[in-house]
Order: sequence, then C-alpha cells, then structure tokens
Amino acid sequence: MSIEKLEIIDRGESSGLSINPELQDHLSVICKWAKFLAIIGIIFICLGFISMLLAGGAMATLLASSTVGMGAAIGPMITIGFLLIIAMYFVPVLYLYRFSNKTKQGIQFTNQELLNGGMNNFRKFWKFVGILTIVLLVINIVTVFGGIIAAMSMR
Amino acid sequence: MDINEILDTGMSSGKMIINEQMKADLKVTKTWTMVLAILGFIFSALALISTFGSLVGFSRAGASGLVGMVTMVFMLAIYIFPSWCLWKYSQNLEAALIGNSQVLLNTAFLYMRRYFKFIGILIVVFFSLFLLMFIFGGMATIF
Repeated sequence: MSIEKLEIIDRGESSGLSINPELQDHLSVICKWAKFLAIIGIIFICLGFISMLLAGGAMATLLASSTVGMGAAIGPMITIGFLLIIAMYFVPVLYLYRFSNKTKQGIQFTNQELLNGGMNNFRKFWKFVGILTIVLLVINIVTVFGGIIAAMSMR
Repeated sequence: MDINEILDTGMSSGKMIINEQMKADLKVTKTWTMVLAILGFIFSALALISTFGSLVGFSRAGASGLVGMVTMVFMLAIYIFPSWCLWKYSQNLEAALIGNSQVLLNTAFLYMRRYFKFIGILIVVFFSLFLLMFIFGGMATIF
C-alpha cells in the first residue's frame, strides 16, 4: 500500500528529478556569474543613458539649428530611438538579475516557490535573448541587401 | 514508515524537486539555447572561412602574419566555446526531460555553469585589457 502511494506521489509531484547537491552547486555558481553579468549590464545601460543625454541633446541642437526643415522633428525621434534601444537591452538584464536573486534565495532557504520563480525568469531571459538576436540578425541582413540594391540601382 | 513522514522529511531536509512548471520553463530555455548555439556555430563557420581566406595573405606577411593567424584562431576558439556549451546544455536537457534522468540534468547544468563562467571571465579579461590600454594610452599622451 505504501509503495502504491509513493508511486502516486512520484507521478503527481514530478518525474523524480530533484535539485540534488550537485545541481545546487551548479546553480549557485550560475547565479553568482549571472548576477555579475547583470550588474555589468546595468552599468553599461547607465553609461549608455548618460551618453544618450549628452550626445542626443547635442545632436538635437545641431539638427534644429540646421537649415533643413525636418531638423526639429528628427531630434526627438533620435531620442526615442535611443530610449528604445536602451529598453531593449534593459529587459534581459532585468530577467537575469531576477533569475539570479530568486534562484539564489530559493537554494538558500530551500524554497520551491522562489526556485520556480527563478527558473521562470531564466526562461524569459533566454527567450528574450534568442528573439533579440534573431531580430537584430534580420535587421542586419535587410540592411545589407537594401544597401546592395540601393548601390545597384544608383549605377 | 508513514507516508506523511516520508513527505515531511523530504521537504525539510532541503529537497527541492523539478516540478511540472519548472519542467515547462526548462523546455523553453532548451529551445532558445539551441537556436543561439546554432547561430553561434554558423558565425563561427563564417569566421573560419574568412580565416582560411586570409591565410594566403598572412603566409606572405611572414612572422607578423603568423601572430595574426594565431590571434584569429584564438578569437575563433573564444567564439565557439560558449556556443558549444549552449549546444551541450540543450542536448543534455532535452534527454534529461524525456528520460527523467538526474545525471543528464546535472550534466546540462554543468555546461550552463561553464557557459556563464566563461562569459563572466571573458568580460573581466576584456575590461582589464581595456583598462590597461586606457592607462598606457594616457601615459603615452602625458610623456
């Protein structure tokens, strides 16, 4: 009877995979480096933001003072573009940081819920990085082909 | 032994499990790490082709060409290693989730650990080099 019940518990809870000491060790090392990378990422985003404020402002002034009529409209557009790029880089860093924090706490306090939360952020991180890479790649390819077509049509 | 006791000791002795939610999350990571690994391999292959392409040019350049070639191969290794780690991670994880194998799961996370460690150390090294260049550049300007 007890074996039957155990089997039921096994089937109900999971497939028998657990977070054993070896896996805990791997996870805590991953968390350590993930946190480091996230902090580096945040520093770079801050630097990017500062340089955006400086360069973007200068560019906007330059464009606004130029004789081209569109100048005034381009300034804010550049700022919005920069903000979008910064947001794009901020999202994975946030996921990475959350993954690191939650998983670390989950292991420390043996809290299943926190660990699940950490793994959920791990998933979001990889998904975002994957999609971002593909999108950037597509943009690059389109730019190259667009450039080739433009160069050929100019001849 | 009582069933409740088994469960209780299981929970309190620091035993956490891979439940269904986590399994679903891990499955998604597997897909994307595989995509990233394949993209990494493709770019490494392209870099390898360009390395062989410039091999002729390097061989004409002599000693400095050899240095350039070694650097290029080194760069290629740096590029290919994280992709390989991600590839092994996704392969092992997939097998672990299908076969419910704890050993394979541990191996998968071992590769993920190597990946994160490698990227982390790489960034530290690049920063150190950058800082050194900055300092020496500054000194060269002053003196």
